[in-house]
Amino acid sequence: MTRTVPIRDGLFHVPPSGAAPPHLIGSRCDDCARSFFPSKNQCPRCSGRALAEIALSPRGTLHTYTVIHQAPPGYAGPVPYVVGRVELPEGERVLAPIVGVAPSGLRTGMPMELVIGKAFDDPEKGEVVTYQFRPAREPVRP
Amino acid sequence: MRPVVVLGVGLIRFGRYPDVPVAELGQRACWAALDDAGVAWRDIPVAYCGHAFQGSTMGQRVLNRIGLTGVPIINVENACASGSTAFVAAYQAVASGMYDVALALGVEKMSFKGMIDATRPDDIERPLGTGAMPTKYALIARRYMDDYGLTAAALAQVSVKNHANGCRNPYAQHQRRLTLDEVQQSRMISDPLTLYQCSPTGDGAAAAVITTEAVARQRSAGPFVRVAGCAVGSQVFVPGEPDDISEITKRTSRRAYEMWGGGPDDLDVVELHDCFTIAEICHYEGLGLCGEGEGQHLLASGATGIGGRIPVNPSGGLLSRGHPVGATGMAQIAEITWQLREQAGERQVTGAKAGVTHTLGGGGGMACAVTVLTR
Ligand SMILES: [Zn+2]
Repeated sequence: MTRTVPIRDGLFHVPPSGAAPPHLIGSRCDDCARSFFPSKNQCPRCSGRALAEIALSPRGTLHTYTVIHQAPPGYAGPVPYVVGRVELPEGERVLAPIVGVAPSGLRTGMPMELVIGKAFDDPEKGEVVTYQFRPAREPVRP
Repeated sequence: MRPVVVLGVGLIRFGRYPDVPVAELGQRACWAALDDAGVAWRDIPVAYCGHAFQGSTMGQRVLNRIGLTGVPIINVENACASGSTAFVAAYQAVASGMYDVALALGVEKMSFKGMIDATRPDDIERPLGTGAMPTKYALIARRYMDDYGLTAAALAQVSVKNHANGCRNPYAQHQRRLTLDEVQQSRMISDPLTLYQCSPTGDGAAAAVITTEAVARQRSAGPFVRVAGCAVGSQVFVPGEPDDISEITKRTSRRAYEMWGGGPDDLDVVELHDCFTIAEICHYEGLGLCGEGEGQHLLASGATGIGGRIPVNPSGGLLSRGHPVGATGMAQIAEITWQLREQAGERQVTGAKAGVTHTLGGGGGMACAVTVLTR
């Protein structure tokens, strides 16, 4: 089996053996209740210093998107690729790779869900995985 | 605060100068500004140098070539707003009474660089490939298109207008007329932004000499180009919009207008930060030239062309004049100064009495500088 490593620690959590969907790790300001991703150690809105770690909602809507045909330096994945901002119920708009949809199928406002998937292969570390969003599928009920 | 006037401006044509050291580019712009002002470098008591990528003591590297006079040289970095921020700092030095004369310089050599990436090496946006400047503006464009029914063709028209203006500007990097088809058919960078909807990187330098109105009057009867208002702003918290470019433009321009005692309806000419086509549409609204969502209609009406109600970017803007980032704000100051003096040649806006410059720096808008000049 391929070894997978997160693109960075502390950004997302994948519960073992599919017990629950993965979630992004954010922080919430004790003073003004705003939530942020990635986590912050101080609130940029009210300067509060007390922030608690929270599990952000794994679903949101596509606020905006673009298909990138010329990748910037430092990016090692396939081109072209889709990037979007997904608005979560907590109010944060997360900038993330968008997968599982052809460019012609993209619409602002479409429901999206978090998935953890491959960013690129690293010859030393193995498969590097990241947070991504894809169009939301109907919830599977057992 | 004492009334401050622009005594002289100068720039070199933006473009690619592989064989000229960056310090010499700055030196040439300073020569032009000093000659235009009729002032010798040895009579300048303080200088401010804006640049973003040139390393330490850039201002000294330029000005030491002109003469070792020992004056304070203050280097200013605010990304793409570095030059315009240096100008505001120079204004403050003179208006406050600390100095009677100041030189402001913007200089940048970046023809060695490709696409500008707003990320730092440890940013998560770098490996994810989400942090390039065209991407940030493409995301703004897509949302704007869906919110206000802006079409890809209407968006591309910004570049057609600004390249037509740049053809009339001997200092512009791209002096080439482009058709709508050429703009839309150029290589896709980040959908909907094609290559000719992205400002070119390049090399350039621009400078200005400013002084008090009292000192200027000792030299000539005028009329003088006066610094009527200026402001520098940074971000406030805008929910969900880490790359906001609109709120910061609104708030910073309102501060400059308030200092001037005028408003967008009193402006005759505008140089704004069209780093990408969508930025010009958004900044029409941010600067108050039209209402929210009306930017595309203002453009389509012809109001922002030379000869229109409120000409925008007669120089060609960043899209055509070019965008060596630290030099851009000072090039805008030079352009508005020439427009107000009726020295803008083929691109002259008839009877211009008040003009504004606007630059944004950083990924989205981390810094904003706005200056109103009047005659
Ligand atoms: Zn807070």
